[in-house]
Amino acid sequence: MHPKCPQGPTAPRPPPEGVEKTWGGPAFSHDWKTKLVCDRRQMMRMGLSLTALRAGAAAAATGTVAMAALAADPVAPPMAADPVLEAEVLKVAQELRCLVCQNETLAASQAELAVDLRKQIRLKLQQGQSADQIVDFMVARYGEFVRYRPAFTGMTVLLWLGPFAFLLASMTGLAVMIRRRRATPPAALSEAQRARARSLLATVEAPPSAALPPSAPTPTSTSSLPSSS
Amino acid sequence: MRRYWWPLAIFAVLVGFLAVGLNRDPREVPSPFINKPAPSFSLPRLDEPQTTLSPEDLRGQVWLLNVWASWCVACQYEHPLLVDLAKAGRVKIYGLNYKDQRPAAQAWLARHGNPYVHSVSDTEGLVGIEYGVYGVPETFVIDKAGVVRHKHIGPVTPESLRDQLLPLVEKLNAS
Repeated sequence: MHPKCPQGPTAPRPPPEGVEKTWGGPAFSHDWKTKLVCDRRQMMRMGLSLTALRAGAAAAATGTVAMAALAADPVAPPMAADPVLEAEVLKVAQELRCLVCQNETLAASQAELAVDLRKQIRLKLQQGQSADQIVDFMVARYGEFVRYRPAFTGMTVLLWLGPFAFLLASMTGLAVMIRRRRATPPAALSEAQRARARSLLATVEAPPSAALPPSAPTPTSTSSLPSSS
Repeated sequence: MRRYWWPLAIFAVLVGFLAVGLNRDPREVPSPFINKPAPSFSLPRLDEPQTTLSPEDLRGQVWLLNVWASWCVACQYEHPLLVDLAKAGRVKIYGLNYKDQRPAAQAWLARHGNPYVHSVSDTEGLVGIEYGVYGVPETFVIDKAGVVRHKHIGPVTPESLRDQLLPLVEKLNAS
């Protein structure tokens, strides 16, 4: 699993958000090419444990675990505030790709960018924008790739119709081949070939005791096929 | 013999597609902003929050917009290059301090050096969304007319600087 793509339920709630804020910020840096990835993971672990320590200290100081939980998650999204709106947000988010965890939709991803973009979707829906307008907004900024379901355009026509075209072409090819094979009668056997076939059939039909041992140089059946001529 | 060529031809085409497709980095999503005007913004400067900076103020010069943050480890990898670049005076670099906190950002610059003419604070990451930023660091090359000419995704490397960014800056400066 990619460290930047935390798994979780599809609810738009980022579990480590507060934690990462304390450590420094969101974790979706372009670091896959650098040699620092391992260091980064270590730092991440250090950051998390530091936060845990800090949260523990805070809990001890105030004596309430609830306070620590609040401190750890200062920006809990108002999920239950409007379930209809949330459902609407997820519906739009399902049409969009998370660019951090590219095989996830914005609805499924727990990456920080996905959280931010869901916030944008929520805001725009509250402003009365339509789903199409929001998708257009995302495409204008992140490109066509942000559509989870590619649009049907001149660029993507091969993507959408290619498989069907390929199926059609191969089915046609197969049909033509079968028809051609049926149309050509098998070539007649020469007299020598007939005699050989007769002798072969005689050995097969003979009683098993008289059958040739398998090591005997039996001629392969392909030699009598018309295609080899 | 001709019948055996067909599967071979199909296989060759398939290999061709795979050779191109597999050599591409799926993380490098082409930016829709190339050859389009850089999105406008007006953000407080990191050093002087009461002063704002916007791309319109930078018309007439070629500049780099480098998206960075103190929490970004990959930024440390490219940072010495940017510092050298700024020292050499070859191009002006402006920073978009992305989803960061001022004290942390300033401490980071004090520690690693400050290659930026100015950095602006995008605390909420909203300008990042306007620019289609999906990770840090990213670097945009913006020309004299305020048009985005190139987007570099991920840390700038000596090779990308030598082969892509600097030649482009020279070209844009000459035009």
